[in-house]
Amino acid sequence: MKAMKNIIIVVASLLMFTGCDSLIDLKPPSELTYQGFWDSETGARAAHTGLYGTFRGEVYTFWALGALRSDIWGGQTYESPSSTDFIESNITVSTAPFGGWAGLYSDIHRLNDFISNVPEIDFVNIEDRDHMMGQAYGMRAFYYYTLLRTWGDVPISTIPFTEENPESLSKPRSAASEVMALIKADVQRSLDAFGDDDSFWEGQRVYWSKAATLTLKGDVFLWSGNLMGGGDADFNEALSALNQVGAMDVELLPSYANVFSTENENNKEFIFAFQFEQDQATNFYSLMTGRTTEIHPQFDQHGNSMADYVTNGANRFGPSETTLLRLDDHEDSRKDATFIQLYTDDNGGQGYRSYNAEKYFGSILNKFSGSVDGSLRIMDNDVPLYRYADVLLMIAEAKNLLGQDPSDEINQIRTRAYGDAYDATTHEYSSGTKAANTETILAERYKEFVGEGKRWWDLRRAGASYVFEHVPYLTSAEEYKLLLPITLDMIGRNPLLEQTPGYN
Amino acid sequence: MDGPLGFGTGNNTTNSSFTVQYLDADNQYLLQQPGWSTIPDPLDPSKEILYYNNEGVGDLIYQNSQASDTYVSFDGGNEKGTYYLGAGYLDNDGLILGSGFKRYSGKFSGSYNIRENLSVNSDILYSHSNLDRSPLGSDNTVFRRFAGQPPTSRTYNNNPDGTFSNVLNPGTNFGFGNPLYYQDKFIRNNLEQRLSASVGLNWKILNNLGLDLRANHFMIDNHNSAFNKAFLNGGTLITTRSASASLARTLRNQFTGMLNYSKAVGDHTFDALIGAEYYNDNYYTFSGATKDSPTDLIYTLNAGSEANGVPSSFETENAIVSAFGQLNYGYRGKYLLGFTFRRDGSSKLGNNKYGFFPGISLGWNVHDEDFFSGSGLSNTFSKIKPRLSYGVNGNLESVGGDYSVFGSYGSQGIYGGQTGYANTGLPTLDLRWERSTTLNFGLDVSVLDDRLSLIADYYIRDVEDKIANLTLPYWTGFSSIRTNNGTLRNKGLELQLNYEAFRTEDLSWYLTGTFTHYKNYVIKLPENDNELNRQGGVQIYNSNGELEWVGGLQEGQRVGNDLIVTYIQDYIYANEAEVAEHEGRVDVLLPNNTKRYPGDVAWVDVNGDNTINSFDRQVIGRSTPDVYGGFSSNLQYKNFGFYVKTDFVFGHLIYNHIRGKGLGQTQGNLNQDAIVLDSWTPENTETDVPRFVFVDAQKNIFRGNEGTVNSRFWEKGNYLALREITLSYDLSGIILQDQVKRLNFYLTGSNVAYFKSYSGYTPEEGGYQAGEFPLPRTLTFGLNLTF
Repeated sequence: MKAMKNIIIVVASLLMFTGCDSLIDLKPPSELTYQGFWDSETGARAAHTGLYGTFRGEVYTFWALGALRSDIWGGQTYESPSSTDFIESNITVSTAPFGGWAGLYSDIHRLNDFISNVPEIDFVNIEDRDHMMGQAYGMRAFYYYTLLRTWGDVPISTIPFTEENPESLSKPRSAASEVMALIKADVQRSLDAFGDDDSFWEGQRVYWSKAATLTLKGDVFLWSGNLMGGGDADFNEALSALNQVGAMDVELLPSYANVFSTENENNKEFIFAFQFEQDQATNFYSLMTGRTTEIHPQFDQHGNSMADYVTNGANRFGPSETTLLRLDDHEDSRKDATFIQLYTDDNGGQGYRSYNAEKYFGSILNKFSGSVDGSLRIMDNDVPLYRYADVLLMIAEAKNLLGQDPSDEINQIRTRAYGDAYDATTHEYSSGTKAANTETILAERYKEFVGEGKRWWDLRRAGASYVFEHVPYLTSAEEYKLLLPITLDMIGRNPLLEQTPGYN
Repeated sequence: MDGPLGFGTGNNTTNSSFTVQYLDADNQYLLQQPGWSTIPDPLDPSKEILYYNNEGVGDLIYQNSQASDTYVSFDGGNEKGTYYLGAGYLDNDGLILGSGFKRYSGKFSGSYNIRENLSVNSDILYSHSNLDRSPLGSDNTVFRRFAGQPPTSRTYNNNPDGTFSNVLNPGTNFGFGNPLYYQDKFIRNNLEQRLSASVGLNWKILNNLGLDLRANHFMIDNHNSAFNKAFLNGGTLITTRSASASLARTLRNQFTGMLNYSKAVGDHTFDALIGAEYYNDNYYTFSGATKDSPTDLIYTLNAGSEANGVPSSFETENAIVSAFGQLNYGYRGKYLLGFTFRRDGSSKLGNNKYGFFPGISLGWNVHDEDFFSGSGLSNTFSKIKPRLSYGVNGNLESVGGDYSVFGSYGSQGIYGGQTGYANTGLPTLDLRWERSTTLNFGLDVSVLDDRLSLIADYYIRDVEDKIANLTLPYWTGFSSIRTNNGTLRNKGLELQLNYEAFRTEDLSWYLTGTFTHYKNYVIKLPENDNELNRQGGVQIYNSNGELEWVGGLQEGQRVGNDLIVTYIQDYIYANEAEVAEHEGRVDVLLPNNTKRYPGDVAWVDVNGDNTINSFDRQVIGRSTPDVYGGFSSNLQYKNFGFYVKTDFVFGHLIYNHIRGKGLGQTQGNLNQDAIVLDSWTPENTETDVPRFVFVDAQKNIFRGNEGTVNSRFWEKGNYLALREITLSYDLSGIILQDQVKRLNFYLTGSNVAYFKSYSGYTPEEGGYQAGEFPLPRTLTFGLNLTF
């Protein structure tokens, strides 16, 4: 019987194992999961920082969507060029670029997750929560604004996706007017959350702020006023929002080159910039540098040898000849600040003061050329999304659309650009016809924002005819190409989506 | 074309990476040296181009490799216990420059009978190994980029008199350069220690009742350190001298208890077993790095002057608890009946941690029946055994990370000095165990006194609650969610035929053939808004010119994830007249939609609308084979043995990217496969290889991006491999009979030869081969000696 007792003990202890749920209820030591993430202010702060890591991850997409299809890029490179089909608007359903809505809904989901959870959390300091909510609504408006400008009608998602049941998830594209209404509502929710708090988060302009939302508001209302039938009411909204920004501790820096310097980050011209730091994240402007093999044998526009230039990048995008010619004014500080032009010889030590097509080899984008660490170039410039020069020129745009004189703001930009060389007799602008003012503002924005992802949006906001006038690859017969097609994969996943008009 | 490139003329006489240049008075002395020659400039025949033919430059990544493997062991024992002690040493040079593997290993196992019905045992295995990977980088980099150095490149710099110096030229850069220069610049050290230790107890509680208890501990410590010496990269001396170190530790603990009982009552036999198990798997890693060391002499972190990146550690763990049992019943050895069950619970699941997996099997030894042995059949058949089984297995392999069902918040990098987190994975708490239920019909038949036997199995395996990624609409913010994604069915046939051709004292010859064929079908999928609840796939024209979806998953159809859908090359435009025949045809992928040149590909326009777009793609095959099989032969004559093993696979397609990328020249400076000689030229118009142009400007090779390849470059993967040949000679009992129990020499060749049409080295891998590590052809000489 002793044996029998032993057997019972053994069998019982064997079975106890499997009854023991705690053995398989494990907590992750190094990872965060949904469980408990949103329980405290700490989680909200980790998610708040996360929003910016995500936002920064899109800097190339924002730049490419905002600049590549304009007349700025597509010039000579000294390595095989990137995105030539996109630059030249060679776009079909088969080759639809930025498939999957450029991945932007993944970021919107994170914002939705933040926006729906953070209000439930108790904060030590309630103002912090309000400021964070203002930032999140502002950024969400910016995302939808980018989607609207790129595809027109797009699906709307404002609550975080948590559905475990994968059935029936198709969703059609909402009309552009509904998307615009959401953008404006988010702008208003952002301003409501900020209240009268004009401050920058931790004093840093690498976080979204009330000034950023107001700038976005100006941008958005200019768009809806000019392209979606909003008219003067919207222009007035835009002007009033933009006029408030000036009082929010922002200014035009005296020197243009200084605005972008890695030594001078968080300067007062920045309204919102993406932060880049060595060992944390670096930006994509290395694609506008090159390899030593090609650069070292060349000379810059002043005839200096490039043999000592430290670089470890690539040369995938080159400025168009139009860009080089528009900037070809050696009194304008933006010329040298924007590009280092490379020439195959030093012209007897003189260099090439004016663009010389025959000897031209290519360009390095100087504006965002990072910093040098020993034998490496680190692409660590903060990249502005909105800066005060943009606000001033949008004020000029709004004034012009309202029939007011825009010359004051244009001249502020020119005075800074020419510096000591500024000569009112040649450089000062006096208001002309509305059409002339529009062209002047577009031209001024061109020179001011090379490399900042603005030009395509500028032309679009001015109106389709400006796109066809300036972009060599598009004619009015292809107006449908102003918006991008969606890929077959997108429709396959979501059968309720319809192709962008004109592409079928 | 006038730059310092593999095909450009801007190179110099001494130290440029490549050797191509125009012939002039200053460099013609090089023609006195071996290997230098000239060709007329194809663009300007008045000039001569001088170049050095660096034959064999593509082979510089290889080294001749040798391996030695030695193992010594002792064993012994008596009625109280047994022991075994072994030690081994393996040294294997890698195929690629600088790679190799060394291992020292030891094993102890012993058992001891404490009492008549109680024994304990223990196993300890330890190994200590160094794996040197190629310092040059990943397989893709090594095989495609380093091996793709053009034969105009310069391995050693030239002296001013034209002879070669012993100074290595670095080549373009460290991702595409001279392997001999870079091989000693990147120090990579690895040490892996493995320990497996177990203790067990075996207690015969009653005569027919036993208890087994076993505890097993397994550990892997993998240490890696790396150091980059100063090196030239595109002409710049990089002096970052980064040093890094990392440790990855795996701990696995397992406890098993089993109670078994057996009983025979008359003609009935019973075997029963019940057990429980706990398994825990813990993984831990940490790493750190420094940089800006002043010297190439110290490889460790201490010489660096500042941290390189943020040091990190990480831990993850999973556990499984199980209960299992088995009952076998037999009646006079003729009827066999078995039941099994398992109940597994995993920490990797949320609300449905447990799964229950039963099984049943039936067997009938017909040849043991009285009616059978009484009939004439028994003269022919020595064995007939039909089998039927049904079983359920659980699987969590596709569930992802240890905690992914709980929804991940992943790091978004550092911003404003802090690490940010965001929702990167959806919680899927309701995920269940994937169950594969297999219904198997089997038959074992032997004839000729068991000399010829057939083992045949036909199975239907339904994978229910298949854990897979379900694609989501992009508006959700996720491209897919892991879910129990419907039911897939796998139907297959497996045959094995064994034939013993000779069975005598001196001569035995044993032949084996195997054959496997299976197909996968989609039975059920979750509802979505697509026809047949289709997931994925692409839309193309069918033979009626109507659009239809192919590939992906569609209810009632074969699984289509391995379908190859691409543009079909019809022919090559031989001349302008042929190009003109297609005037006005729009090809949406071309930079200028209607502009084509002689030597470009004429694509098949499936629906005849004179437009080539993605709907004109066609299904050309699958990347997975239809049929697998093999033959082996084992011949023993007296002391000689001769063994041959082959295997074959049919029905899959492969694309060789090393060849395609070279022909497309989308990187530049890449070397060419000889197929380039067949490409269209004004003189060679009757060909199926398009003209050779830089960056594949007319999309003749790559359609849209490098993921879609011209049908011409998909090749049949069918092969027959001579996998192994072994010749052995056994001297056991012939010499030194007193001291030597066993003495045996053998010579083995592995991967001896392929019969194949595929242009690459590895026909085993179907689909898109971007750069595969080839199976090495090895020759092994071995000696087994037992005292």
